[in-house]
Amino acid sequence: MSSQPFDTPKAWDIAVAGLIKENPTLKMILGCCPTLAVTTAVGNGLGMGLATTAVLMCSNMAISLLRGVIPEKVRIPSYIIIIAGFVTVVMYVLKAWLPELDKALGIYIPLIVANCILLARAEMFAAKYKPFPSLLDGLFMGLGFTLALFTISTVREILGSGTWFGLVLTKNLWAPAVLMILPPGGFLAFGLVITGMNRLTNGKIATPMCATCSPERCAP
Amino acid sequence: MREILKPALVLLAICAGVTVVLALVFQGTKPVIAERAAADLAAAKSEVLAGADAFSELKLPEGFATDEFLQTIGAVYLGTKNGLYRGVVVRALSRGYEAAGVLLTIGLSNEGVVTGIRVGDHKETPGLGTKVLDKAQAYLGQYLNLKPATNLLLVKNKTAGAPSHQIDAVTGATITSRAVWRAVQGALEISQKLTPEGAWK
Repeated sequence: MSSQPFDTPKAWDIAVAGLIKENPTLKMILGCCPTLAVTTAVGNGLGMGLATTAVLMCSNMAISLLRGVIPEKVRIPSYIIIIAGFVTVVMYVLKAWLPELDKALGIYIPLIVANCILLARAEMFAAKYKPFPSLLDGLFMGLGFTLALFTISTVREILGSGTWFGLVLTKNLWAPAVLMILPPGGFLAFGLVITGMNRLTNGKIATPMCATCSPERCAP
Repeated sequence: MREILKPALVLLAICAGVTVVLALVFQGTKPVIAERAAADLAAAKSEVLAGADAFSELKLPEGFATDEFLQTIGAVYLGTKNGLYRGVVVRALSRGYEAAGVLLTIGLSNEGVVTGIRVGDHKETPGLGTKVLDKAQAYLGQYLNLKPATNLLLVKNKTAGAPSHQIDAVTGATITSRAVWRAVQGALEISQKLTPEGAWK
């Protein structure tokens, strides 16, 4: 994988793929565990999304730099070790020097290791392209994940707690459906938002092939 | 042979590299994190027991933890102001939904009234367990200024007008509610074991 086998996608295509066309949560249905677990309130969804974006940018960059070194046969364990290493470093650094951020995001950091979006982007993008496009891919895939979490947690928080960002919205209109912030509500809201997303994009990927992978690999 | 050896060696090198980086980061951040934890403990003590300005650790007797409430207690500090005993600060680690537990600092005045609860490190579920531990939510407030005549009782859907020693658990977060309840009950038992001068009975 040392050479550059495919044309590097343009920044605009990377952005559209990450946010909409190949949205990791709503189109690829990756990273369901954190999606269902932390979307009970908008603040949590946003925090998890942004923390993941930061780690995803770092891991994509590192894996892209090492793409000529890592042998095909051991790529998956190599990616996992690099990702886990990054997450642990971020955890210690936040604890030592950014305690406020650690208080806000600390509980999400260990969850990032288990997020398959990181592994998916390493395998599908960073292993093939140069560091800068990989960094952009990390940024926009992360923002796509953040956008999805934000939307799902908005639905859940408004219906389940009657609040948004902790602000009381529906005090006297209806009693909040506690179900929506419990696990079953996660699946309901997830399904609703996927439906909405598919409806908005007509239920299909706009081009015959995915924007970030090659035609040979991604046969229609 | 080469095909087996090369990937193995590269993987070994990556593992070794990541290990070295982690070891360096760990060594570099360890003193800073320890310093921060000490500063945090000092801040927690004066927050939950505002009436005192000096604290000294009380040595707990062997085998004091006779029930599930006292078993959560880690350390006890006596708070004084101008040399006068003002109350006690209890540091408790209570098992919640996650094995890491919930670290709580609880202040009690010398009359046994709960003066403050500060939540420290925990790994409870965001959105569920964290609702219990959030200061802006109602749960923790139920304990403040409480001096129960009997043991605290954790109930679900507390009815209006029920006595104040009944604590209303948070829906969807019963286990975290119970963790806090256990620690506060433990702290109350500690304060009942102290004389008005702050000595172990």
